[in-house]
Amino acid sequence: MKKIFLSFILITSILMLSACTKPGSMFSISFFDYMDTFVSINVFAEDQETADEYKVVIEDIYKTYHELSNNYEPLAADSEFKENIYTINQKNNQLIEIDEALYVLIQKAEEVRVLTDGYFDISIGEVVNVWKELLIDNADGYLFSEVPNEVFQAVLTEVNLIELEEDVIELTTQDNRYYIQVKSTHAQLDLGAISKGYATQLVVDYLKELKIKYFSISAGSSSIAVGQNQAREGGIYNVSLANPLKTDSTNRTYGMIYVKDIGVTTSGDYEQYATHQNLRYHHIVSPKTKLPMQYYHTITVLGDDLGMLDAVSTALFSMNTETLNTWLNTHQDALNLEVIQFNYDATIVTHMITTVFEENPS
Amino acid sequence: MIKKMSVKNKRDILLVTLLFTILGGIFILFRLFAFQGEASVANVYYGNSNEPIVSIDFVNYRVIKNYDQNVPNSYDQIYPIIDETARTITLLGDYELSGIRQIVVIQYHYGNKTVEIIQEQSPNKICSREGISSGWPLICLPNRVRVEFDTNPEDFTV
Repeated sequence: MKKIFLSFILITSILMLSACTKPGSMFSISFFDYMDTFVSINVFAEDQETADEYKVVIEDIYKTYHELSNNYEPLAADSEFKENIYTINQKNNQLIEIDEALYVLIQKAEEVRVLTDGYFDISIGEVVNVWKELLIDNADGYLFSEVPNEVFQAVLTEVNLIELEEDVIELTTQDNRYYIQVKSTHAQLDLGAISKGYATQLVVDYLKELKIKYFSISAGSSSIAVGQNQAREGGIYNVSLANPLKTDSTNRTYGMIYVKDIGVTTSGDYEQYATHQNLRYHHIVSPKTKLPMQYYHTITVLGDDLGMLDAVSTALFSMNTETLNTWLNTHQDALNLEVIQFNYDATIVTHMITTVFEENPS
Repeated sequence: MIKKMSVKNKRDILLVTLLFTILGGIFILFRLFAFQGEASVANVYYGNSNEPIVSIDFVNYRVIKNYDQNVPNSYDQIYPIIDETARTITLLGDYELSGIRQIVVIQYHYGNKTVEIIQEQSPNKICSREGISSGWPLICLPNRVRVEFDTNPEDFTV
């Protein structure tokens, strides 16, 4: 009897002790000030002090790319950087010295342009601006409303007058100095579809360098990166996919993916759009047609490199199904990408490798 | 006869101790594993309502006030009070001191997904003595304020 009693005490105390010896816990870090995005990070750290150290480094990454990719105002007078996208856009055809960080980012964007046969192109800023203005111009934006025909026709005329030139960006280095020349009289650069993902990937790289296993980063509603989930067996995060056709709170999402150690980016037409004759016009503009295309409501891409995912999901969004399939046949395995299409007719097509996708029961 | 009684007594004591240990063990296990880390929302309720008055969303780091607490006009304040800096939610409880209803202050922590009652007035102060909860419900009586954890199956939406 005594033995049983003692063993009970032993088991209970072991259980209690095992729960107490876990060193460290998850800490939350968030920013409102960069890239028009609410960035929210959960990271495993030994204590608050360590988490605060991470925060300093991570904030510096987002702040850096926020400043460099800004295309609506120049750098602050006391900025540590040489040029940003705004100032580069004022100096077409000039040879401009830029910071290495911006050079490497633009180089990456150019790589993706080549990789996607020009379906991703950061030099179409002029066209993107016209469509963005249609949506969210202060006085008369048509966000979530119907665009009158005469306004729509005027936008088409304006867009058609813009002549897009191919391969306008020239990047050169000399003696550890970095230069850009935009060979066009009018082309405008826009890093909006890559810089957030790119910066987030740098944060992921930083956390991995520190050998941190448990983390999650949500950069706005369209881009996430996860390590492993400390709170769930197997380290899995459950990521639901936003339903672009939601009508009420009961059909907020259309499916779920179960992931760890991966990045997920969605490009979609549902967060900002105006309608014209039953089609949605959004901010993802095809470099080929200069129009927002209506093949899909969302394209979700899973992979290892968020900068690449951000740009690739943008590119795929403007490809018709045939082009997208051909592109995936060529590149999916080499790039280790997985794709989920929510088509315009509300059908769902997946191109998965290992990740499990579950459609919500209807 | 007397000897037999004492053996019986000893056995009774042992049995009772054993029972308490088992129950204690189950209780500790329940507290350790209740919802461990899986909770994504903590809902704050007042009175008999099953509609949470405030929801703490641990996934998106926000506190949502669902509706105002119905309090008599003599209380010159709108409840609940949500303080995002101190990370507290203040409700008016039912317990009265000198005829004045007393407040219940709930503190939340997004990163750890925890909730704690940091201030209340009641005879035994049980719910503030419960400490920090990451899963088990905090029930404040006679203030009739309660905090319950819930889960969404998802961690993120993209």
